[in-house]
Amino acid sequence: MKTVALTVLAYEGPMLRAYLGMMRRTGLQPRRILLMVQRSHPATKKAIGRWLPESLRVPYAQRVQEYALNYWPRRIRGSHPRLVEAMARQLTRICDDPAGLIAEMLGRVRYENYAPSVERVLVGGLGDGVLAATFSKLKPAAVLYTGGGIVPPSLLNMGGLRFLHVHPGHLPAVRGADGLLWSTLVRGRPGVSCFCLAGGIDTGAVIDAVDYPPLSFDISALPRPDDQTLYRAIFSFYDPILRADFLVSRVLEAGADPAALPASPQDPRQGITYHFMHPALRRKALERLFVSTASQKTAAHSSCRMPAAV
Amino acid sequence: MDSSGLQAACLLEELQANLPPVPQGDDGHIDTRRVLLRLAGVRPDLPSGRDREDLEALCREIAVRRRVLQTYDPGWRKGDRQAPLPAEWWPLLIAVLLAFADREWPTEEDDSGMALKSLNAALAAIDIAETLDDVAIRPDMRCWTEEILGTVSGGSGT
Repeated sequence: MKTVALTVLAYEGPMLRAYLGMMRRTGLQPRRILLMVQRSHPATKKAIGRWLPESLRVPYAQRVQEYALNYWPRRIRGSHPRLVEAMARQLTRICDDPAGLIAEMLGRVRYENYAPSVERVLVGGLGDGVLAATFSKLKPAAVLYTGGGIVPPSLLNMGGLRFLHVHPGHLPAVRGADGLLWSTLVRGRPGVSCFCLAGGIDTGAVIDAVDYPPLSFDISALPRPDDQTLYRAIFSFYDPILRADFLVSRVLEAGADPAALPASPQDPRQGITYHFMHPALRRKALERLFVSTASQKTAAHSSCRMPAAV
Repeated sequence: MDSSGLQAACLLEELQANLPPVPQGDDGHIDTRRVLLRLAGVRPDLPSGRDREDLEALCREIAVRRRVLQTYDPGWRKGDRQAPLPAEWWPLLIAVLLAFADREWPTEEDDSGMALKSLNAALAAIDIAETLDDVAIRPDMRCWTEEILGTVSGGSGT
C-alpha cells in the first residue's frame, strides 16, 4: 500500500466508504483517518449514550451512527436489489467492479484496514472545539472533507491546513446543491471537481475539474421506484462512486502531495450557484438518469396552455 | 416575439396594472417591489449585470430561506425592517421567474442554467405562496408553469 499524505476527516456514510474503498483497491491509503463520532443521533438529534464513560460512549456512538448514516443505501439494496444491480451495471463505465465496491460500502467497515492511523473524536459537529483542538495537535497539511455540514471558519482559517473537497459538478459552471442533478439537466453529463474549501459556496481554488460521459440507468425491466427512492439511490451509489473515482484516478493517482497540488482561483463571475432542486424539476432529472417505459408515460404533460393574448 | 412570449408579456403587464404604486424615493435599501418591476421589463432577454445579481438573490431567498422580504439592506442582507413582501406582489414575483424560465430551446449552457434556476425558484415560490394568506395563484400561471416544465427534458440542447 502506498500512503498518501492525506488525513481523511471521516463523516460516516456512503461517500466516505466509496473514497476509502476506491483508494484501497488502487493500492492507496490515507496517512490518517480522523473519524467524527457524533454525540447526537444524526436523525433524532438525541444525545447518544451520555450516561456512559467516554471509553464506552465512543464505540457505542460509532455503532449508532454507522447504522443511521448507512440506513438508506442498505434499505434500498434490500428493497430494490434490481435497481442497485442496474446501477452497478452502468457504473462499470466509471470503474471496475462497482458491484464489489457497493458491497464493500454497505458492509461492516473496520477503518484500521484502510489507514495506518485511525483517531476517533466525539463531536457535536464540524464546529466542535474538540475537532479544532485535534487538528492543532495532529497538524495535518491536507484534509479530505467527506461531509457533515459546513466547515466553519475556525477550521478553514487554521494555518498550514488545506481542506480538499470533491464536488459533483464542473466548477465554476455548476456550484451549489444537487450538483449531479443540475449537471444532468443543464449540461447533459456529470462533472466532478476537486477544490480547496474556502468561505463561499464551492468558490475555492480548483485543483482539477472534468466532465464524465453521459450516464443513465436502464430500469425498464423493473417497476419504477418512486422519485424519493431514486433520489436516495443517486446519493447512495452513483454520486459517491463518481466522486471517489475522480479523487483516486485524477487527484491522488499522480502521487503528488495533496497539500502541494496546484490550484487555480475561480472567477466568481463565471458559473451559477444552484439550490436544492424542487421535486417537479427533480423528476425531470431523474427521468433522464433512470430510463424506463413508465417514465416515458408519466413524462406526458398537461395540455393546458396560457390563454391567448388579448 | 413568439406567441408564448406575447402571452407572457401580456400577463406581466396585467399583473403590474393591478398593483398599488410603489412609493418613490431611495433610502439606500433594496425594495423588492421595485426590483420586480425592473426585472419584468428585462425579459425576454435573460438579465445581466445588476439585474442578474438581483434575480440570483431572489432565487436564493426563495429556494434557501423560503421567504421574501419587502426590503433588504444593500447586498440583499436582512436588515432591521423585516416586513414580508406583500401578498399582492407574489403573483408578479412568480410570473417574473416564469418569464425568465420560458426559453426557446436549445440555448447556451449559461442561459439554460439561469432559466432552470428561475423555474426552480418559481416552483418553490408557488409552494410558499400556497401557504400564505391572501395569495391566489391564477390557473393560467399554473398552466404556464406546467407548459415550461414540459419543455424540460434535460441536457444541453434540451
